[in-house]
Amino acid sequence: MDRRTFLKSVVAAGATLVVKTIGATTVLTERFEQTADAAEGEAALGTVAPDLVAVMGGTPAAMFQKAIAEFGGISTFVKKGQKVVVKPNIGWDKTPDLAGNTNPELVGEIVKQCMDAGAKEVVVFDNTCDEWQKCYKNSGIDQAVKKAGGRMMPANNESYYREIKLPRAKIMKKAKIHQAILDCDVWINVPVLKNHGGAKMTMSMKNLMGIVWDRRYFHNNGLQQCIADMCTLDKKPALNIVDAYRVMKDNGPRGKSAADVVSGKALFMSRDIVAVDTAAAKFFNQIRTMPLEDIGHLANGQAHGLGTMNIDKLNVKRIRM
Amino acid sequence: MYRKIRIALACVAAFCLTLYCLDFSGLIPHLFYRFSQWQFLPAVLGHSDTFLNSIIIVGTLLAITFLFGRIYCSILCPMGIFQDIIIWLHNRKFIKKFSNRLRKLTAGTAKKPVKKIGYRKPKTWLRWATLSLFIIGVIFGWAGIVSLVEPYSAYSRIAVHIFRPVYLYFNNVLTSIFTSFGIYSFYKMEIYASNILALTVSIATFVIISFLAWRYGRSFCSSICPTGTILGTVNRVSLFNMRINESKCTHCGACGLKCKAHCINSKEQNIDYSRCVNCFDCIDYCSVKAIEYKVRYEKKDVKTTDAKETDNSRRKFIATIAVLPLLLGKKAFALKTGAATYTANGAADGMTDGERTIPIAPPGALSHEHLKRHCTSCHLCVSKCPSRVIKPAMLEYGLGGIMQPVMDFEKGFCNYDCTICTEICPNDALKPLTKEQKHLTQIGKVVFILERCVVYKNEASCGACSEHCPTQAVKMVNYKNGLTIPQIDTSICVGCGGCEHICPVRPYRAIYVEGSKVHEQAVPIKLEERDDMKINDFGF
Repeated sequence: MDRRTFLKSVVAAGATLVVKTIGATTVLTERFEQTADAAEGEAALGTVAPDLVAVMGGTPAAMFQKAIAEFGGISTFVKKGQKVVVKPNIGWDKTPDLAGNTNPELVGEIVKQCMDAGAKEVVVFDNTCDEWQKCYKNSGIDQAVKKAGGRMMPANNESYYREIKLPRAKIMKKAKIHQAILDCDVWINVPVLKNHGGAKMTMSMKNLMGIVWDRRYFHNNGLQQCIADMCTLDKKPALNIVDAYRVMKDNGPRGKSAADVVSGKALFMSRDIVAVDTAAAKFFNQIRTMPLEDIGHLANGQAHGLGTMNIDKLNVKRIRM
Repeated sequence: MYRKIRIALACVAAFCLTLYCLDFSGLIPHLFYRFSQWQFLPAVLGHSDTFLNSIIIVGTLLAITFLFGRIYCSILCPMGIFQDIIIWLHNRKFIKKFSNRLRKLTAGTAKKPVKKIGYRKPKTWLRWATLSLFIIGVIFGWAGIVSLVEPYSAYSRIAVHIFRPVYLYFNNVLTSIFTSFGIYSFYKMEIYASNILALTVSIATFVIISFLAWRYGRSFCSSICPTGTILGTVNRVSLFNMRINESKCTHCGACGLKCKAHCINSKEQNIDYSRCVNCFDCIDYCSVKAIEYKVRYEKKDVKTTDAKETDNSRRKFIATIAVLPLLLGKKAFALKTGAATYTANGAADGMTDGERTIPIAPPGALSHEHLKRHCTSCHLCVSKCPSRVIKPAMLEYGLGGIMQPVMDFEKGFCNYDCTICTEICPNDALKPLTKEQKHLTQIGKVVFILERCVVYKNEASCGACSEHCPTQAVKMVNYKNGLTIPQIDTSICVGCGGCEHICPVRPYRAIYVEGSKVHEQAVPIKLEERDDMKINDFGF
């Protein structure tokens, strides 16, 4: 970002805040990720976009289309000529029906819309757990992304990562982040909703582990705090989209068989990373009891001021299809 | 003509085989592993298990040799072709000029004209001693050491440990360039020496073979190579052979000087067929076309060659063939003893202080004994493993098993659904496994040390091990304060090393895989019934 664009955005952000206060909108949460661009989108829509959108009952692509329309379309977030990163969960060498990775149809649709909105390029990657090429291919994401006009980027080598500082973090004060994230204009976080043996649940916040090179550090130094620390990254995802079309209820995050998978047919979308995860976790509680206080990184994230767990106070839009 | 065909075929074979050894991206079709499979000694060593397959390969190669001579050595054997390339380079004028100039600069004098070497006496004792040692080594499970002279494996090791890093380096340079232009179809690969011993051996082999080829032509094939000895013996009686037509020959001696194997005695118009590798160079170089490739028993006017030795060697060869079945018998015996020692060791190993004591053999190896008797350490599995878990052993299997493949989970863990190493092994040291068979093959068993675990020690969430476990042999169970802790079930563990790879605890991991000298069968995992749960609400 050069000085001119920086100044511009500071001015624009200031203006947005003023507009917000005059409009007597209740701003319950500090929305760090609120950008000038997003405000423009809302203004174009003529209404105030919801804080959180929850959709049920459609196909992954259709649910995304409904939800993004509530925010004024993808062009609210993605501008012409921008470099975009879409970061799904591609952690495992699993086929889509086993719900180990984000739904390829959803990822494909997001990439397609970003391209249609005039993005210069859309890059997709994940630092996988299983051998990366098998993950990219067998998850169906490689094919879906390429078909939609996006690019898959490798993340298998340390040289793709650059170290940054995390000044607001409690434990993990620095991390090596994938260059695609550091070099892009905007990025979209697209996790899949899964049970997780260690972190209890894996959703938007946990998905940020896939942009970091050394994941052992998280496990060795207090997983729940490190996940929240990672989310204090300056360059936050513009949007978090939790894929709950298929939900892994047990044996996660890898899963043993199709018996671990429940058909959720839902999707949650928000700029607030803590709120969207709270909503998804509450949805998950209908499948299996999972106390929110056990999912430590949610409270830790709230303490960092990354968002709110109190979703009842938010402007939530519920859509059934 | 023959020579040109030979060169063309050799180039194709060597190029395909080498490229398959180097390739990491799946660019080269899987089918190319056949070039590794159609190698003489690896096929002989693969004898006992896929008997039919082995009979077909060994039989075909022997039949070809019997009919047409040692063309295996000139067309299929990568080490032979490698030497041919060195010899070819040696004969280039520009290289000669360059080396002369270099000599002038350094020593101040021009190179003394070297006396050209024609016919050399055979080193029969060396050949048969090497072959005998090889056979004895294989019988006693020392394949790792004796395979130092097995030509295919020696070459393959050079390709994997010397050529491949160079190939990766160029790939990485290309990747950097393309990535900076926003093209991500290339990707970087980490370059590392998986084993210093294998690297040293490969470099030594490379230097020694190159030196021998540069100075003495195909001397390795004539006096050391066990394959060369066996096929050379067959070549003595082969149907088609080079023949010197006495009526045309002018005794100029050009053929003898050009012969890579130094096996043409042009003075006496003899050819030592046991050393001739059927390169057909002599035919092309003979200005009066006095050397012909002809059927042996056609006419009587051809002078019978090396009559003294023929019978003797043939007898030796028959004796060798007689030894081969011993391999089969001995194997069954050794398997039994191997199993016995394992149970004895197994009891003691439960008492270790938490580091692997028994090395883990790759899937399909059946047992350490099986691996040690079949593997010639060609390292094709090392090169091809996508998860980079197979590396050459140091002394894990003992002295006889040096450089044979062993599992190491530092760089990754064995992919649950991957069976590539078992499919490509040319020796059947790793027997082919289907995905379903591999899911039940227990190459080792998980060991968990509670006192070292992050959850126990720091009372913090972790679960990385369970996360990576494909069978949930490591499962997170409720511990305290909402925390979960690993619980292991060794009966369903396949020993993939996912848990060991990701465990963050150092210097000693809290969870690791202990090897099994004989691979066991895992209990099939129970799959729960899928319940078609309907969710009708958002839940908030």
